[in-house]
Amino acid sequence: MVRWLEAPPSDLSVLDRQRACLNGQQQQHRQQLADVGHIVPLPTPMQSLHNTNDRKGSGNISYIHNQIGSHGNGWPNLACTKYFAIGAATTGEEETSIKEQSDNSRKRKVEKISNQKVGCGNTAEDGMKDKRVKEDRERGGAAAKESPQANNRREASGDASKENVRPRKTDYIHVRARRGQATDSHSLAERVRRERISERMKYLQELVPGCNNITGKAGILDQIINYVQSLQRQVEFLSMKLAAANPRLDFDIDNFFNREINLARNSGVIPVTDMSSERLDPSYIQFTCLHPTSACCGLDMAMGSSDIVLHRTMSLPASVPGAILDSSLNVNGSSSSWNTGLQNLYGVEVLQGRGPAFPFQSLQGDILPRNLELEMEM
Amino acid sequence: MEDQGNNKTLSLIKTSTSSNSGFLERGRRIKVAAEMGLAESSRGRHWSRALRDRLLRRIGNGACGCQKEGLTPSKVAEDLVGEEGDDEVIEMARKLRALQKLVPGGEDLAMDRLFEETADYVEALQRQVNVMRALASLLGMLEKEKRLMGG
Repeated sequence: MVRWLEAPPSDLSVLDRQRACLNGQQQQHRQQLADVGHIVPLPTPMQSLHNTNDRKGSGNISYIHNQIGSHGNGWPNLACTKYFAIGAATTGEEETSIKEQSDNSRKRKVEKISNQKVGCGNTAEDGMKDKRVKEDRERGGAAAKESPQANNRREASGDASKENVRPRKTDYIHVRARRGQATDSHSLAERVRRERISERMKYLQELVPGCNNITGKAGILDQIINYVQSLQRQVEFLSMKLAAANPRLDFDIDNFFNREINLARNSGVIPVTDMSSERLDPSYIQFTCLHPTSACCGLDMAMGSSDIVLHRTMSLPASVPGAILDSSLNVNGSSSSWNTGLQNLYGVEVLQGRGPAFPFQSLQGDILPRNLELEMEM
Repeated sequence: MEDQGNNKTLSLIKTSTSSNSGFLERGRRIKVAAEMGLAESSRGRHWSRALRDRLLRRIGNGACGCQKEGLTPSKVAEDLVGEEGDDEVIEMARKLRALQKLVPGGEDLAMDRLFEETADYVEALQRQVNVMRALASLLGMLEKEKRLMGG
């Protein structure tokens, strides 16, 4: 996933000053907060990392500080510790304090976004104007309150924006208002939201092929919709193709759900459990290819992701007389035309004699040297 | 691009000595298995859960012979629409609706979450398609070899 980790250059002298001031306050601040059960000292070290002298000489570091509470599996997933390894600014002190925060019960998502005026490129570091807004959702945009830290910081930074430190909020965002723009919390929240949405649209734009030259939300949305539809249709088509190409194979999901639940409790690799199959004739498919390269000549896939574990489960409903399919696919990515990302596909299934019990194994096998084995035996 | 969990593709395979089950029926079952695998590959995701629920509900209903349940009424996310002119707003809303319908579980997602889920879903779909293509080619080669060997 894309991560927005900005590491603006830091001014050590300023930071030293700030750090000295903040450390004392941080302690007492944390004390207060500890009572409430939410420790939100995160802003303080972040403040201490602010850089007052960016290249353009105007803004400060901007960041958006989010807690995960509002999002399920946050996107992007960012560990807050990452964001504090900023140049030379991070000292041992700050790191420990930061690590303490990361150990807090409350998970945090931290994004750093440097905002820039429209038309400027996306520099990784300082933007021209940085944005920090405190969005207080529970209070509904009450007037800004100054805390000692905020005051301190403002003195040091000299910015004319408001800052809030609200310890007890479950959810707040630090964004600084841009120069010449409305600073009430509603419009700032709106702006934050809009920027978030446009980030995501940009990400989608990269993901979906062929929409790089299209501007405008509507066009991009169209492309996205078309792409998703085409992918879904491809899945359908491929499943029909699989059905057509292999009359001996059948896919069955009877009692899959039971297996699913058991599977869900298992971690990735499950050793082979049972090889007993008294009543059943094992018929297994193993891919054997004499010429690894020629075998893969038909493949034009790009499997960029890493390990793919093929799970196969075999079910033997009472109605079906006993043939099992035991299939194992061993694919070595390096020796074939497959992308390097694909390392291994390996699945082995064994069927037990009993009816409702469906053993399930998923194996993440080793990378076999240059062998694509294929054999079919009935 | 890595997801939280492992990438898994689930296939459920069973042979029947008689290939009596119709082609369409097999194809449909393969599709369900493939979608289940897709959902499994990104287990923690909202769309993944929604897809799983949908599939399992379908299986459950099929097994007991019930009819398909009616679609749950979709929540109209009011902040779906951004700030644009009226016509554009309507058009955008329509497109967002379409996207919501495509992405499993998208009906009750607002715009930003919707895009998140869409991105993840697209990635998972791409992986799924790749794996299925690989499977199809490999199995196709198997058939060819079998024929060549006079099997």
